[in-house]
Amino acid sequence: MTGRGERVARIGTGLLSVVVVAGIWQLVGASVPEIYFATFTATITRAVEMTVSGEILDALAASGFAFLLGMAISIGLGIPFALLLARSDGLRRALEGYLYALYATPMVVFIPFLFALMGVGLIPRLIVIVLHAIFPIILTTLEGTLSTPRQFLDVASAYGSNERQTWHDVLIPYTVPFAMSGIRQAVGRGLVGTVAAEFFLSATGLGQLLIGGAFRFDSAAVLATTLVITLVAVTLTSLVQRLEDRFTPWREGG
Amino acid sequence: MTTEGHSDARAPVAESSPEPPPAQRQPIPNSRYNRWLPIFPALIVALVWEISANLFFPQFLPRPSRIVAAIPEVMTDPDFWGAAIDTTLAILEGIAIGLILGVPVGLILGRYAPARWFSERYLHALNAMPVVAIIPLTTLWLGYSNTMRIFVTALSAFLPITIQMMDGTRKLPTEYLDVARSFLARDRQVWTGVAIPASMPFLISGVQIATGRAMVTGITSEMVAAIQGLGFWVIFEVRSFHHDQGFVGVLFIAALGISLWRTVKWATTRFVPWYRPSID
Repeated sequence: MTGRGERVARIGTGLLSVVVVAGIWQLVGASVPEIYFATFTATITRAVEMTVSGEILDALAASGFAFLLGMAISIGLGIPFALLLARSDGLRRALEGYLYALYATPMVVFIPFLFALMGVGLIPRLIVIVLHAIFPIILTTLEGTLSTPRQFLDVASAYGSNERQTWHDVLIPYTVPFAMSGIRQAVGRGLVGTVAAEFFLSATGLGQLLIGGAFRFDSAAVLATTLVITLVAVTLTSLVQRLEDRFTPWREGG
Repeated sequence: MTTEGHSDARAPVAESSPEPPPAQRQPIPNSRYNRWLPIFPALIVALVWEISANLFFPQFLPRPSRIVAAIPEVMTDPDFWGAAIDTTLAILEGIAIGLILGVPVGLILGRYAPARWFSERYLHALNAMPVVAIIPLTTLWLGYSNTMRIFVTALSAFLPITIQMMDGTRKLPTEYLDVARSFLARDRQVWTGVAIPASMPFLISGVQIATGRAMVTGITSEMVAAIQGLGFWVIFEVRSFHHDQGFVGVLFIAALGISLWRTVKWATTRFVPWYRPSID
């Protein structure tokens, strides 16, 4: 019943699961034709090959650049825009319904039009990524600012805070955890946007590696690329989760 | 939008909880002037779009006047309705499969630690992965088929539902169980009276995430693999230079997304009124 015993069991089961899953993968891969599902070892070999040849790194660089730039634009535009909406009742009233509607719209449907208008390139892909990422940021940030407890604002005004101080000391600290949770959602959606955009609007990147691999029935390459994407996604998600936890402690302060 | 009230009936917060903290905001005064405000952005966008499209863009690109004119044509097109029905059914089917498999799996993983230790990392990794990335691989297995679309849609629904259920079952506050026990509740009563209601918020937030993701994955799979449905319908119209008709399809997809989201919201306030509001 000790904590140590449990930890050992937990780590042991975790290691066991790696062995079991890799083993099942190997067996399944060995029993079906390679065009459907490459074995675990074939996938790893292919991943190493693609890394040595530079294929994966090039694709990673292309996708990563578009993703990060798209996130930067979404955060840079989304947060100030949310604060602007929080300031203006009229603007908020006018736009909020649309923002929620856009939030619920699957943005991939705009890809064909962007392709017709701009062809293959970075700009249309950035637009897709920003369309995916910006709305959760705007909406959670707006929600956070608007839900600042009345008492906090009353205290601030009772102590003679001016507008700037109210924002700096009350509204922004209260809003940060909300914005962080919006950014976490935005990272997930931005990844979807990045990959989906590369399916149609790119000649390079991880999405193209997937499409190209599937086109050539090279299942080892597709699996290897999927693994890389998963690794990147896990890293980004846990990074942003850690950031969010870092900013969470004071959010229960109401 | 649905942010009034409920602030004191707070649910436990899961590790992977998708929502911002509970929010209670000041209502916007609903004057007569305010009520008409939402019309202006649509008018302005339509006007700017129409004018700039006529000035700068190629003739075939969509513009508001022609999109509106194309609505009757699209709405009387049996192919369009066939696609709409196919897509809607595939999404609903995917969500249903995700629920049917995800709820029990999540419950089991939440209750039995070894099962969780075994599979947790894979679930979290798959959940972090953008599910659209698995579409090319799935086309190798299942071809360019409806089965493939259902598979990816169900997978994108299954993962968040399972993870939320797992966290929810795990996080049942021990005080709740203590109280139930002090009042001599039987096992069945503990489940129906405590455990299930307490995990409902997690299920709901799982379904909320699942709905959005299933929709995106479903539509994307249609676009990538040319499966009969709205995503393919739009891309086909655009490639045939029927951009205005294609854009009517986009509006329809947006409406579908919004209605699904609204339905989940409505079901939440109707059946789980103690759920704390969020935007997700």
